Amino acid sequence: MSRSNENPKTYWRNVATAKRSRLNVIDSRPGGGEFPAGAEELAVPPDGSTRRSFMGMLGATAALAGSATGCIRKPKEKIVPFADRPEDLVPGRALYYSTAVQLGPSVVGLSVESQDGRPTKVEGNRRHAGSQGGTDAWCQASVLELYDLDRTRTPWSVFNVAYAISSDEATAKKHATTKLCYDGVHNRVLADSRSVDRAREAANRCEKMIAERGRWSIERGEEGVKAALELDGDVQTSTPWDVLWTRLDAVFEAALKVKGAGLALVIHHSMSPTYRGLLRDFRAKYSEARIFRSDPTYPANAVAGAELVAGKGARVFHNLRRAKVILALDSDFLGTDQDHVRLAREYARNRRVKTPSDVMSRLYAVEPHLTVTGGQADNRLALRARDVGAFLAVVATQLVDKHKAKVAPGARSLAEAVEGASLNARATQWAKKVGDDLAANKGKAIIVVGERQPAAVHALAHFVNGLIGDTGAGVPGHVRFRYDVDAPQVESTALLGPGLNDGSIETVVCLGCNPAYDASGALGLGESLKQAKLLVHAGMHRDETGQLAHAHFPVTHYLEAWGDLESSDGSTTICQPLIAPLHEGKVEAGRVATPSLLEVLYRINHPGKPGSGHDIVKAYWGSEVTQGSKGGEVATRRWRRWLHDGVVSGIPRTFQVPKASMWEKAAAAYKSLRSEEGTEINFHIDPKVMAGRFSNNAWMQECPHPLTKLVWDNAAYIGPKLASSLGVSNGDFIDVKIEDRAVQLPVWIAPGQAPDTVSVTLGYGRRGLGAIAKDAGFDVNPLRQDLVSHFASGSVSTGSGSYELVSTQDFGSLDPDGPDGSPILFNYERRPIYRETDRPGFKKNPDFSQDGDLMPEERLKSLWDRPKLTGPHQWGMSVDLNTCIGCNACVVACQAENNIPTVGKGEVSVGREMHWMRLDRYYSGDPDEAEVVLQPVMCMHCETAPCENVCPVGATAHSPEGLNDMAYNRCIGTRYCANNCAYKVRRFNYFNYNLDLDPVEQMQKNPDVTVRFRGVIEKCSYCSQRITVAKSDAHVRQENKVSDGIIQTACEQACPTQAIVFGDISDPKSRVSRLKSFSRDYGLLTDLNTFPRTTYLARVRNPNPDLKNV
Amino acid sequence: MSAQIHTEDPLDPLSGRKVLAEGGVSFHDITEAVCKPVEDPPLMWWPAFLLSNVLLGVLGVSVLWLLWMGPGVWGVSSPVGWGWAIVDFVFWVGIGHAGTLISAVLFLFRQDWRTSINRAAEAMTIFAVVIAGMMPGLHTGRPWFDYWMFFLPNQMGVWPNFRSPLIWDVFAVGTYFTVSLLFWYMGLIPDLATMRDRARTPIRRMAYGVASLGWRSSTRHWVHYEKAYMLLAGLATPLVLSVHTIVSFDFAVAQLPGWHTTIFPPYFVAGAVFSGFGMVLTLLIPLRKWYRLEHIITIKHLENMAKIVLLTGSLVGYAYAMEFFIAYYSGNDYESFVFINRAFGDYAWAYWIMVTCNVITPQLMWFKKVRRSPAALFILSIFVNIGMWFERFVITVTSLHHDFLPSSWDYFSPTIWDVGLLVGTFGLFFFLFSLFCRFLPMIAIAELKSVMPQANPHYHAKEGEHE
Repeated sequence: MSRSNENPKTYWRNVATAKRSRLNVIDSRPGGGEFPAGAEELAVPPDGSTRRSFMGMLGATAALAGSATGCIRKPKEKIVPFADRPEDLVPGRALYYSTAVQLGPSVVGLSVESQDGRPTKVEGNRRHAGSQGGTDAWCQASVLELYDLDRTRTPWSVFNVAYAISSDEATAKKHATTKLCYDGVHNRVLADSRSVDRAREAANRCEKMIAERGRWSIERGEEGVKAALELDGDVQTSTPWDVLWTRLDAVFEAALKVKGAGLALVIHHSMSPTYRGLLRDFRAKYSEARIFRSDPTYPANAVAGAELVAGKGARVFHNLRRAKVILALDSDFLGTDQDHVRLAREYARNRRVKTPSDVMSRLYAVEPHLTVTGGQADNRLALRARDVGAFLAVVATQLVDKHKAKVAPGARSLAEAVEGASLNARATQWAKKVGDDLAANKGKAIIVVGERQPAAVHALAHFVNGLIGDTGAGVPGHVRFRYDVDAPQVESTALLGPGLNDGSIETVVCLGCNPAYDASGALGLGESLKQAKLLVHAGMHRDETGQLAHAHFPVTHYLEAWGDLESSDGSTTICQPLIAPLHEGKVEAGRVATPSLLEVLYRINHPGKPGSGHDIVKAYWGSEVTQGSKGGEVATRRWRRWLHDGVVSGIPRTFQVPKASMWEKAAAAYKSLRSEEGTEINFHIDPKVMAGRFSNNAWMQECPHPLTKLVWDNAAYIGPKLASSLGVSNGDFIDVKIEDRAVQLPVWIAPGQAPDTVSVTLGYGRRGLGAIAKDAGFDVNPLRQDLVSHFASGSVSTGSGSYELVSTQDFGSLDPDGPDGSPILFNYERRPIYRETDRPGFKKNPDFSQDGDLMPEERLKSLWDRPKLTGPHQWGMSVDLNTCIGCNACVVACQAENNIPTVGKGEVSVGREMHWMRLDRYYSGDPDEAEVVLQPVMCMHCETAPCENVCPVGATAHSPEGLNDMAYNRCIGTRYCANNCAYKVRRFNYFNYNLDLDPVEQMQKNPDVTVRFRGVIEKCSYCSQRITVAKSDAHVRQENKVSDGIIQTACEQACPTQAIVFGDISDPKSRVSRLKSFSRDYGLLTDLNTFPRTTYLARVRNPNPDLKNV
Repeated sequence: MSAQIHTEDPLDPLSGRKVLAEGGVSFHDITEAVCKPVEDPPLMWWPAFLLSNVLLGVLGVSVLWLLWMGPGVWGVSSPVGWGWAIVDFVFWVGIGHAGTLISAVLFLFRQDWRTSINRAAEAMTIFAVVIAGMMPGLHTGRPWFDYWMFFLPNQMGVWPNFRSPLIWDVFAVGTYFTVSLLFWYMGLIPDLATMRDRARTPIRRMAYGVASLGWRSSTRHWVHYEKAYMLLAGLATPLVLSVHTIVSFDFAVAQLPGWHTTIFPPYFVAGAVFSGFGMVLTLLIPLRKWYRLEHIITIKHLENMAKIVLLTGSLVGYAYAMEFFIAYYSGNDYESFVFINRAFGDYAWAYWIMVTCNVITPQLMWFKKVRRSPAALFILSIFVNIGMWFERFVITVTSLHHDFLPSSWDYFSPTIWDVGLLVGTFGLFFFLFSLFCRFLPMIAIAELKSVMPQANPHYHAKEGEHE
C-alpha cells in the first residue's frame, strides 16, 4: 500500500489488496502477529497519503460503485469484521457494478451483483443498448466460469526450472533433478496421459536432457549449497511468472528488432476498442508480423456480406423495433446469432397482444435445423441451408417481377443473377407467398440472414431489404450499417498452417483463442502448430492449444479485469473488475496476479514493461476524449459516470454510414455459389456451450438444450425420415463424412430437421480441458472445412454401437395416444396444458384460452373453503407464452440465484435434475415439419396447494402473502409433496449434491439462499429472499407496501423478452394484475382446484393464411 | 400323519364336523407334537435359519449403504418419488393382515379351525408389521428426523401435520402393531407356561417362567384370560379394517390420477387379506411337513384358507375391473389415460403379472383337488405373493410415472439397492420367523385342546384310545 502514490493509476487494485490484507489478522512473519496486517496504513507514509485518505478511498469506491471494492476474498482462517465500516457498505447487502461481457459477436451490458466482494450473479444493464436489462443463459453462466476449478492457476511451460539446497553440491543437484523430473515432468505427463509408462519414460528423458543441456547455477550460502537448474525440456511444468516473463520478454525484444518477422499473433474476435488500439500498436511495432483470427464465433460471413455491398470496414446490425414482418433465413437471431439478447427484446415488443385488434408481428423462419427462432416462427419452412440462397432469390424475383419493386440501376445485374433460382416446388411457392407478404408490408418488413449463410446470401439480403423499403442507410431502417474503422487487419487461420509448414512463421502467440481445437478440420492446425519453434498460449484454460504450447499461462476472467467493449451498434462500456484475480502465481519477489489479455498484449508491445489494465484502458479513453492527441486524460467525474452507468457517454462519435451500393460484386458472388449434392452437414454454434467457451461450465452442460432437451452432450440431429431410412434411433452411432474427414456421432432424432440434412453443434468432445468437459459430447471440428463455412455436403451411414444420450424430457407430445389415436376403445382430447390459437381464432373468440378447461368453473367442487390469505401483498406471476422464446436464460438465472446444484449426466438420466424451473417443450404436427412450443414451468404457488396437506411434518406451508413456502430445516424428505404436485416442480436432493464444495466454488453461492442438504425437497420460492429484502427496505422507508416493479424474480430479471412478470395481484394497477386481466390468461390444470398464482398468457400465432395449404 | 391327500376328512363323533386334530390324538400328543420341535428342532431349521441370516445380511448392507449415501442409491427420481420402499411397505402391511383376521375376526365368529393356525399367522403379522414400519422410516430423505412424525412436545411448538395421511399411517400402523403384539402375547401365556413346565434347563425354565407371567392355569386365571382375549379380539377386529384403509389413504388422498379413487379402502383391505392368507399358506405348508404337524394343520385347514384366498382374490379382481369402469365413466381424461396406460403402457408387463397372479391363477382354487393339494396351494400362494407385490408396484409406480404434464414423464428402473432391500426384508422376516419357530410353540396348544372332541364334556373315549 505504501507504494500507492508512486503511480496513481494503480489505485483501485491496491485498495483491493489493502482490504484483503486487513482481514488477515495473524501474519506469518516473525513479529508480524503483533500488529494486524495493514496496520502500517495507519502511519503517515512519507509521500503524504494518510489513513484518512485510505478510508476515503474505501468509501469512495463503495459509494461510486467505481471499482473492485469488493475484492475481499475472505480467508478460511479467523476473520474480524470491519472495525471502521466504510460508509454505505452494509455487510450482507449486495452491491451492483456495471460491466459488460462479450459473447461471440454480441456484447451484453451487465450489472453484476457483488456479495461481500464476490461476484455471484449477473443481470442485464438497463442502460446498455445491447442488453436493455435482459441477459441470456451464457451471461448467467459466465459467473460460474470465474469460479471454474479447472482454470489454469499458474503458468505452465517447457522452460523448466528447479532448485534445491543441500549441504553438498552433488546432493543439491540430485534433489533438484528429482524435483524437476519427478515432481514436475512425471506428474504432468501422468495427469495428461494417465499412463505410468509414459510418465516414467518422460522422467527418464528429462534426466537425460539435464545431463546433456541442463544449465546449473550453484550458490553457496549460509544454508548450504543451492543448486538451481534451468532446462528447456519438452514437457510443461509449473513455471514461476518471473521466469516466464523473462523468457517471453526476451523473445519479444528479439522479435521487435526484426519487426516481428516470423512472428504470428493469433487472436480471438475482440470487440474491445482498447484491444483493437493495442493491436494497431502491435501492427505498428511489429510490421512484419502476421495477425490471424481464430474464432468460430466471429461473424465472418455477415462481415464479408456487408463489405461486399458497402465497402471495406462495413458492418451490419439489425433493429427489430418496428419490424412487422420478419423473415429469418437460417438465422437464430433469438438464440445464438449476433445481438440475440437485444433482438429478442425488440422482437418481443411486437408480440405482446392484449386484444385481437392489437398489432402483432409475423415471423417467418426458413432453416435446416429447428432453433428457438424456428420454434417461435409463425410459419416455418424446413429447408436445407444450401437452398436458402435460392429461396431468397425467389423472394427477390417475386418482389421485382410481380410487385415491381424499384431496383436501383446498379443492382440490375444482381436482380438478373438471381432469376430462375432452382428450388423445389413447395419452397418456391412458399417463397413467393412470403415475397407477397413482404411487399404488402413495405417499410415494415425485414430479412435477417444468419451467420451460417455465405457472404453472397448476406449481400443478396441487403439488396432485398432495400427492395422492401429498407434502404439500409441506417436510422431509421431495420438493417443498419456502420463502419468499423479500427478493425484490425487480420488473416484467416487458413493461412496460418501453410505459414507454419513452410517455416515463414516460427513463433506463434495465441491470445485467448484455441486454434488447435477450433481449426482441427481440413485446416489441421493442431498438427501445424507443432511445427512452431515457439508456441505461446494465453487463456483461461490449459485447452487443446495450451497443452501443445511451449508456454501456456493463465489470463483473467472478464469479471477480474479492466477492459472495454463496444457493441455492434456502437454503445460502449468500460468493464470494471468485480474482484481481484482469483489466482496468483508465486514468484520469489512476491505474488503476481494473473494478467488480463489487454495486459498481455500491452506487454508484447512493450517487452519488459508490465502495464495495468486500468491504466491501459484509461489511457486509451484519454486519447479518445481528446480526439487522438496523445496524453489526454478522462476527467475523474466523467470516468466515474461511465463506470457507474456502464455506458460511455458524452463523446461525440459520429459515424460515417456506409451505403450498400456495390451490387455487381454481390452478383458475382451469388453466381459463384456452388450447388452441391449429397447429405448436408450443418455446423451450429451450440446453444449451450457456444463453440467451446462454456464446455467446462456445469450450468451450461446441465442446462437442457432449448429444443431437444439434451444435457451434457451434443449429437447429430437428424429428421425422423432420415433416421428411419438409416434405421437408427436415438443414441445409435452414425458415421458422418465430409470428403475424407469422418466422425462417428450418436443420433438424436430432431423433429423439424430439413430432409437429408444433419445438424451438429460445436464445442463438445474437449480433450483435457477439465473435469466438467470430460467425456461430454463429440468433437465435430475435424469435419469442418474452415471456420467460415457452416454447412457442407457429405454423407452419413449407419455406424456401430450406441451411446447414452440423456434428455430431461422424454415425452414431447400433449396427446398421450400419439397421432394414431388410442390403443383401444378410449379416445382422448389433447391435454389442455399449452393453449394457443392463431389470430383469426383469437378474433373469433378472445376467450379461447378458457376453452381448454375440462369443466366449467361452477361445476368444480371443493371439499373445503378456499383459504383466506390476509397478507398486505398477494404475490403472483404471469408468463406470456407469446413472448417466451425458450432461450434458457431464466433456467440458468434461477440456478445462479438459488444455489441450485448440478447433478451430472448420470443423475439427470434417472430424472434427478434439480432445476427449479424448466421449459417444457411439446411438438405438434408432422414430425418433419414439426411445430414446437415451449412453456416455462416453475412452482405455481397454488392457493390450495396439494403439496401442503400431505406433508407429515408441515415443512411446506402457505404464507399469508400467497407463497408456498418451503422450510428446508423441517423437511424430512418423504417426497409425498413431490408426488402430489400436479406440476412436478418439486426437486429432491437424492444425494448430498453440495458435499465437498471447493472453497472457490463456494464463493459463487448466494448467501441469501440456503445451500440444501441431502434428503430435503426444494423448489421455486418466487425468490423469497428478494421479496424479503424489498419488504425490509420498504419498512425502513416507512412504507406499508412494496411498490410494483421493485421486486424482480431472478427469472423475470434475466428474461430477454420480459415474458415473465412478477408482482402483487391484490393491487389492480400492478403489471402482473393487468396482465392477468388479459383474456389470454389461463391457469395450468385449474380443474384440480389448485388456484395457481402463476398463470400463463395463451399463445397467439400469426401465420400467413396464404401459406396454409402450401 | 401321512402327507397323502385325503379326499374325505375324519369327523368329530359329537358335532359331526371335521375334527381339528386328526389321527385320534390325545391332549398329550398335541402338547408333544407342538413342544417337541421347540425343544429339539428338526434338521430343516438350521439351513432355513442360516439362509435367512444371509438375507438379513443383505438387508444390513442395503440399509447401511442407504443411510450413508441417501435415497439416491435407489431408482426413485422425479416424477416417481416413491419406489420400492413404499411398495415393500404396503406389501408387508398387507401380509400383516391375515394374522389378526384369523385370530380376532375368526375368533369372534367362532371359527374353531383358526386355532391350528392362528399362532403362526399372528407371529407372521407381527414380523411383517415390523418390516412394514421400517420401510417408510428408511424411505425418508433424512431418517434421523423421522421422530418429527411423532407427537413429541418440543421447544419450537411445531406439531406434525394432522392433514397428512402419513401421520394417520403412523397411528394406524402403530396401533395395529401394539394391539397385535398384545393379542399374540396374551394367547401365548398358557403355552409359555406349558413350555416352562416342560423345561429341562434352568435357563429355559427361567426364561419361559418370566415370560409366562406366573400362569398357573387356575380357573380364575382362565376366566380373566378368556375375558381379556375376547376384549382384545373385539379391539383388534376394527383394526384389521382400519389399518389398510389408512394405508390406502396414502394414495387415495393424493390427487394423482390412479391414486385418487374412493374404491381404495375396501379394495386394499381385500387385497391385504388375500396377500396375508397367501403368505400364511406359503409359511405353513412347508412348516407342517418339517415339523410333522400335518395332523394338526390339516388339509381341511389349507382348504379353508384356499377358499378365503379365492374369495378375496375375486374381490380384488372385481376392484380392478371397477377401477377401469370408473376411470372410463368419470370422463376424466387424466384418469382414463392412467388406466389405459397401466394395462397397455410402459408397465403393461407389471400389470399383467399382477392380473395373472391375483385374479387368474387363484381361480384354480375352484377345484377341490387343487384346494386339497398342499403342493398346488404352495405354488399358488407364491403366485399370490408375487401378484400382490406387483399390485403395489403397479399402483405406486404406474400412476406416478405418467401423471398430468407429459413433460415430466419418465420411466422408473430399480437399482441393485432396491432389490437388496426387498430381498433383505424377506431375510429379516424369515430370521424372525425362524426364531419364533425355535423358541415358541407355533400352535396355540391350549386353544387347540379346547376345541378338540376330548374337551367336550360329552366325549367318551373309545376303546384303545387315550383318555
